[in-house]
Amino acid sequence: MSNNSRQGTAESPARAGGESNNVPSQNNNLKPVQVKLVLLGEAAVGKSSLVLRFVNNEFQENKEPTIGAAFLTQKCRLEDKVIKFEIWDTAGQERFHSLAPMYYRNAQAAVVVYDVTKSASLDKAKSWVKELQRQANPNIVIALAGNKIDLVQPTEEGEEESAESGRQVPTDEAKAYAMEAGLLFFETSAKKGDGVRDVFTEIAKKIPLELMMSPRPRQIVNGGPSPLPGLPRANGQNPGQNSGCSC
Amino acid sequence: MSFSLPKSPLLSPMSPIMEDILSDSNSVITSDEPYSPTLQPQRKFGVYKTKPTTQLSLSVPSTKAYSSSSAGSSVKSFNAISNLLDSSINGESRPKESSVDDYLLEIMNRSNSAPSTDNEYLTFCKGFVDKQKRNFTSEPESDMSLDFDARHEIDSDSSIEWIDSHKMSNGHSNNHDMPAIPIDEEYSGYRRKYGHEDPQSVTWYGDESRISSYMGVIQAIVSFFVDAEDSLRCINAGNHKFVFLLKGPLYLVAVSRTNESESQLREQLNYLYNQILSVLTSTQLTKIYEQRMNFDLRRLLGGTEPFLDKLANSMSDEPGFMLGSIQCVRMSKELRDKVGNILQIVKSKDLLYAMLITNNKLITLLRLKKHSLHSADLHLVFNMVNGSSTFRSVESWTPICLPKFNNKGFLHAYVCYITANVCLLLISPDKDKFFELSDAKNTIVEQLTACDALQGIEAASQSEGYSIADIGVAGLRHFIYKSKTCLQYTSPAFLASYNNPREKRRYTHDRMHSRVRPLKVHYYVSPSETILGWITATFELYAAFGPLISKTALTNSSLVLLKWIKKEEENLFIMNSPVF
Repeated sequence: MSNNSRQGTAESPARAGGESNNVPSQNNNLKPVQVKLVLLGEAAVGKSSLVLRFVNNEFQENKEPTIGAAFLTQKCRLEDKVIKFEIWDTAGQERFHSLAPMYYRNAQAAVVVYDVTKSASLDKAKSWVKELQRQANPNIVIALAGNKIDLVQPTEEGEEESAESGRQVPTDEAKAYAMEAGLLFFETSAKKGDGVRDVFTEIAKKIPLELMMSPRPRQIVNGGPSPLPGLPRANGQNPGQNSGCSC
Repeated sequence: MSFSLPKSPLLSPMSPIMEDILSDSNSVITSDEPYSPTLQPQRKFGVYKTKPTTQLSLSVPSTKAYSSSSAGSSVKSFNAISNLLDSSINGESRPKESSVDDYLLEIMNRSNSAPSTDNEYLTFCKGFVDKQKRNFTSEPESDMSLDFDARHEIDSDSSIEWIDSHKMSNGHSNNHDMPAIPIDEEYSGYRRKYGHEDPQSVTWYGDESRISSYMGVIQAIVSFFVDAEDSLRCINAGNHKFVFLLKGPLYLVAVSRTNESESQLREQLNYLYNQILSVLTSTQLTKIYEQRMNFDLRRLLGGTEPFLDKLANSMSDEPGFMLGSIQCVRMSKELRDKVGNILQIVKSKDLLYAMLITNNKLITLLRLKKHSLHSADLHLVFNMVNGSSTFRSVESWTPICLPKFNNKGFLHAYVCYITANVCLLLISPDKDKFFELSDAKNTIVEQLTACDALQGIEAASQSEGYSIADIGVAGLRHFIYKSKTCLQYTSPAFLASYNNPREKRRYTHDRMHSRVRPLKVHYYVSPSETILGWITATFELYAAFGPLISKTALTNSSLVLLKWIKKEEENLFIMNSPVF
């Protein structure tokens, strides 16, 4: 499962621009592979906004907090496969914390979101990662996503120091942590759409789909498929930039 | 009789506190300023606890009953204040009885009841109000003594009457200079949480600094009474009414300038408390405070502010909260039955309740046999579904505690909008049943679509209900009819001429007025309208007519109205909710 052998084409409204190198498909199994994915992170970091951007390609200002958890699905094409993401978008409030295991228990993938303008949210993200690594499916693919980069991006061309002033989590710091903890790492903007698709595409690439053609994906619990040999579990690079493919 | 607070030596121990309250609630009440009877008809300050105001309460039995309970030096200052205030009140030629009445009331209302967070107040037709008030105070005096003992047992509803009768007919404007503050605090004296809700504005203010000093004051006052093994129920200070609801670790306080009575306000506090329980359950709440006395509850309530706000707002507008009933969408019985039957398809042991809701109205409710759903719980459900836009686009799965069903544990609600306005809600005791219920939803939608019922309910949910004109009763402006057997009420859309919030509220309050007294019939004429309140064993009717209608015409019209309701009964109400 090397990077250059994979390439994703999503059916959903795609916004990311990227080169697509078509690799001839090896098998034409179009039956969707279900991937259960859970979003975790502190309240108000933009979990729901990320999902809505991914699923409906829309963005709502001042979105109200999620209650409990919301369930959404989205189909994507990755190479020759169709992947159906079953997404649990959880509420970030503390009172829902005790429910989280119910959602990540069987998940094959998790996106842990923090807010780049709020350093405390990275701490919360780290504690989620720890919990996932301790209690979730051992093969769960975890992505760390720093959201709201639109708030810290220079508005004009050229690097303006002042534009970075809102940022509290330097990219390098988060990236270093992600590498150390073995996570995929992204910085995203649900508002503008930057990087959102990459998160899901890279997750899809990293999940050992071949072993997941199980007809009962919902029931994949413990002892799910193990990663393919040779695939490093940790991938600290930003795959969106470094991998040879994108969607 | 001028009143100078700072000068009184008696006040010294508590005076900063009282000053805070007084000056905040009512800037006029500070030193030496004479009361103006016209502008401040309600001014009085009552702290009822401990032999309050002995000389004032005269022959009132309650005082005696009450005075036994406690003592203590600071009581003196309360008394002193009360006395001062009362004398000022008397000085302004207010009938003494009325203030006593209010004391009585507060004292009497020691039962449980509810709260609110409104803060509209009256700046409107004062002269007229005064007149009305006098009429009213004189008339019910005899009642007062008669009812006196009975009121203890009757519930709070009946006892509040008084305050209302003084205030009825005051229109309210929507201005408010002081936000209502429901406060939750822990009773040992640690501050739990403050937030205040101002129903007129949509935010739950984060501006603690503005109220935190009052919080301390309130806490001190409440603790004082708790120490004496007593509980504080209400304080009247000028135009403001402070109503307290002590629920285990939480103190809820409503500050109101509306005409709402103490028990109505407390009712509303109860709704707010239930809302908090629906998020946390009483088990969790108790545990938290056993473990950490000074826990800031907002950490756990994070994200529920919109619900508390919405609830506070709707309590000021919707009669359902006061009536303890809910409203159904008017639709043909056939359609409702059809929908009910389709819902039955999904019955399973995983399902406790299934319901279709639109805009705070019920379309149909399917329940497990033996598990009826309390209207207070339904209000919470409505409030949740309506209170957040996040349910609109997705399938949601959320824990919810329905306090009347079981305040110790969570149920799990599947929420999904199946059309733009119609929301399907499935409640299960099992937290792992999301996918089963999601499949059930698909089945339901399929079936509803197959028999065109989906469009039918969507259309019914979009319509504004019916109007007075549909009924064709001469002179009728508006009415609210509550069926006591179904615990549902119906009410037409407000007419344009009867539509502004002030009118609406005024009407509402009058209606409440007649409700809260154990009166069978209440007839009231004001310069702008005639109000009839009529309570029987099976229904409560509150109707507004034009001011000039004769009693005979009114009676006839009411009968016609009742006949119409009877005819439409099956469409207006859910007469037999299906069970499985």
